[in-house]
Amino acid sequence: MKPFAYFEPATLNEALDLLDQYGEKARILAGGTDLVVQMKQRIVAPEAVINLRRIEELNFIEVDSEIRLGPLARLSQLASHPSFAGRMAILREAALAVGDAQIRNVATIGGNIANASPSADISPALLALGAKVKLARKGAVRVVNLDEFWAGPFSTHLKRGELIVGIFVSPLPEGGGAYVWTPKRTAVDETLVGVGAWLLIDSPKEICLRASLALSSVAPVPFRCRQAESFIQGKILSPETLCQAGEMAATEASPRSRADYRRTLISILVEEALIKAWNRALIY
Amino acid sequence: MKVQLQLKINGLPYRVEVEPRRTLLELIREDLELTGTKEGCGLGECGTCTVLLDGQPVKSCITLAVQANGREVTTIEGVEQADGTLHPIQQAFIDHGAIQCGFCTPGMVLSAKALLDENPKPTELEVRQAIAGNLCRCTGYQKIVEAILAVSSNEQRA
Repeated sequence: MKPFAYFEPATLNEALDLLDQYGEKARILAGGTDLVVQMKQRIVAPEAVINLRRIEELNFIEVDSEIRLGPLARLSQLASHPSFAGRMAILREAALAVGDAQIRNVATIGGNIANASPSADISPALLALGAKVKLARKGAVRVVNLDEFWAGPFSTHLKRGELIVGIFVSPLPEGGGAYVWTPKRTAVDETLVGVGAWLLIDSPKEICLRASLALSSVAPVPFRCRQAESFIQGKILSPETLCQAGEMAATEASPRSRADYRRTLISILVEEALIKAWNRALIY
Repeated sequence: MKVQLQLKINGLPYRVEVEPRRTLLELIREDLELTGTKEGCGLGECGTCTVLLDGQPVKSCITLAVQANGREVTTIEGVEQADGTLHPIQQAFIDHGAIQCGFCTPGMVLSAKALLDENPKPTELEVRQAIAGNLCRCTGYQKIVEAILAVSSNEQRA
């Protein structure tokens, strides 16, 4: 690891000043489970590392009429939060899909998004929920839809000096969702295909009023399957519809490796995610 | 440029100076010579370097020492009692033959300790999930799981 200047700003403003000063020569340290590995492997060698750990205002999980997640909230906190059960279990399922206990105790939601891994697990769950990301830099704040946040594998549309300060789902959607995934069989079980689904059902008629479906690890960035979504809307989820939705989602993906296998998995996992989401949406 | 840190390791207060790029594992093993914590892959995959940070298992090889500033670290040296009596988990590992080469053992014991401190009566699945981040090259998982479950059932009787 190359030497770097180290900072622990006490406030968000101090952090934004440092980011403004160092720009792309600085790296943000949240949990460090991606950054420290990248520095050890010399994939990155920042001049400055800015550790956010003292900035309490970036560490929160709040759920009422909306979901507000601080970038420093850890995945273990997300996984054990009582709000993310039942129809909202999608975020618990996605958090538990990441790494292992040791990683989840340290890794943060903000880091998972900002690292921009194509195989991130939190991302499709948040995409299915229609999450927005609040970004701040010195003197400016903006909000972007999560699906407009990534530029490509491990690359974002963050501007110079910009930092994630919150992730929001507003209003709290009606209906229910699920996250399902299949890992590679390697030491760290990186996700081979991840599916986030959210459905709103007209209970008496059992017709799908609204559907969102997002995939990870099968395209340069996690993305929403717009064709499959509009296909499902207005339909009863019969076995035929589920099967067709899965196949449609598979054609919307662009896997780089093991494409046939991943497309087969997408069809299967989309069906599974839709059934889970459907059951949860019906109950609640 | 070195940074001054204050932290507790196994209940004892330490004041140390480290370069910001020093990992927690390097601080523990090389500076403080607590060599019970092992380095395996060095990339946060194998879990041999597991220590407890404020009671929760983390991988010390991908944690910077500065991240432990002001916090409490438990290594395998801090698990046994002051008089040298082994922790029930350590004793159970011996009794159940859950140790072969021993390299993963410190990390396994600490992951198990964090689980049992939080959840004294885990299911087998919960045990397996808790040690999913600790790889055993000898593949002695079954005996490790049995050892951890034995500790939890003993505690319930007591």
